Amino acid sequence: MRIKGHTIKEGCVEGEALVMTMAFSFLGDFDLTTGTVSDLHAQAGANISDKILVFPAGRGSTTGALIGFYAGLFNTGPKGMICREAEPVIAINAVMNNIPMMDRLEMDPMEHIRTGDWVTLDASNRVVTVVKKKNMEKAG
Amino acid sequence: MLLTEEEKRMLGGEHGPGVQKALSFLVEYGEAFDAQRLVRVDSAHILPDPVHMLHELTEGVACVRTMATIHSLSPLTSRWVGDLGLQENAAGPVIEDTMKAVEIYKGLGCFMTLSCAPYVMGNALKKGNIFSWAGSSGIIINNSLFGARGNRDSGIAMTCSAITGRTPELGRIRSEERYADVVVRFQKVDVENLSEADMGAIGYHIGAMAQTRNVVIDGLPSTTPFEKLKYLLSPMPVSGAVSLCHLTGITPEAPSLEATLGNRKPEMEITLSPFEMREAAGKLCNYTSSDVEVVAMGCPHLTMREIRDIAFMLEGKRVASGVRLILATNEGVRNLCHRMGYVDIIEKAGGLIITDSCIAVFPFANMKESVERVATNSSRCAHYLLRGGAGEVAGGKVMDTYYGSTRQCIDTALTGKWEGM
Repeated sequence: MRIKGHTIKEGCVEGEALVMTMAFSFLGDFDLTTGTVSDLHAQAGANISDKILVFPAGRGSTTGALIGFYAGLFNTGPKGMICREAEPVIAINAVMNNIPMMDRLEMDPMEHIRTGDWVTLDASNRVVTVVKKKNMEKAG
Repeated sequence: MLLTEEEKRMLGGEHGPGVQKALSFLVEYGEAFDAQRLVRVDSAHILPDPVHMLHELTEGVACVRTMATIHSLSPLTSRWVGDLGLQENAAGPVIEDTMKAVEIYKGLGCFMTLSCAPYVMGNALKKGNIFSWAGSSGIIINNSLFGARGNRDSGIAMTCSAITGRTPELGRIRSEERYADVVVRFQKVDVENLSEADMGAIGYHIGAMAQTRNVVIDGLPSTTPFEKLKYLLSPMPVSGAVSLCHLTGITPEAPSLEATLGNRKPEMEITLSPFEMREAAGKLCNYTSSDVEVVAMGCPHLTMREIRDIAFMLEGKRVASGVRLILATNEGVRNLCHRMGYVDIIEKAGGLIITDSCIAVFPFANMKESVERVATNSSRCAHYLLRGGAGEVAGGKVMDTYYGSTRQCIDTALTGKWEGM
């Protein structure tokens, strides 16, 4: 499945999707040293490291982009980000820390991407490609 | 994006490599939101950038082009480490880097307010002014209560704006993006007698519902003091990402409900009853024992009136043995409260008023004697205490957290016991 959208930060990455069912902040919603999602978040216990993070919206304090910088330094941050509509804290996080990111996709990413799907986020060409987890299993 | 001749010169490097890099970042940030142009910034408030990035951005820059102040920092950077019972030399490389950055900003003429509430020390905005600020509480207060215009800037955006005097015209800077999409009304709520904790619970609930949308609250009395409004607004960008909340009959762009909606239908209508307030407050408490070890207030930083009220509550009394009462504000307010005798009263009672520090990222993991249980009157602070602040690199630790009014927090400091809400 190919979905077109709007680019926040250019670049092309691929990886496993981690879908967050609630808004996400780099301050408070995950552990910077391990990448593990906080106990009080809907995806508690999941790990964001090297994932293509899919979430409805950013939230939380403006320290977020600075924490994102350190997540990059510690290799605990996501590889790419996709959200319904970016707000500035999460967008600056992507631009400043060079994390490819798209938003405003033609189809709702929250409905069409599941955790474990293989996602190619080609923000330079404004297109997201999704290979469903079960199709990958069939292909063996 | 359309740039002026002056901006083109900045981007071309005529004003030095720092300005060039800063302007190039602002253009990229603006393009992510389809901004058409850059606009002049009246005020910046800065969370220090990592030093190596700051060196690049300030190459060839002698002074900032705007009013600029510096945000609150980790308590580990402050002169209060010993008094707070924190381990000496606990500041790791991340915190040390921040302290070096502050010196660079100082050299550029940024005022060391080291506060999330620089508006009380002179970085004050009026209706229509444009700002690039760190600190989600200051941002929503500027947009809503003062009628100034700015977005949830983060990372290096504030430094870039201070250096170039520009910011991309996007989001809440644009008049058409200042209308409300979410309407909040009260049902069976005694709006005349809401405590700080009631206000914080209401704001926490609204933020989670509204997410990034603009809000209008209808039905609060026009006499509601600034401090109460501070507790109402500041959690909205913590549970959500709200940056503008009109209050009908109170805030400058809300003469009426209709005016805030711009003749459109709202996307969402929220009816708030005592049930939602209790539910939100419940999400901000998590504890097993009623023995409290720390009472922390000052998120956002306490105003002089709040410190006066706390001093009057504490006069002639004594904080219970084994309890630490920590009040956070900035140097301007502390000095004035010292002159008024309030600092003496609070210290005699066994409390401590600290400056320069953010208590929401308090490094509880770095205390000399282990603490597990903390009470606060701030829903913003409670949210982060329950999640371990800024994490291990900043000495964060998940805390048992108690959330209640200023009065309830002071009573707890005096008895050492939390009486449930």
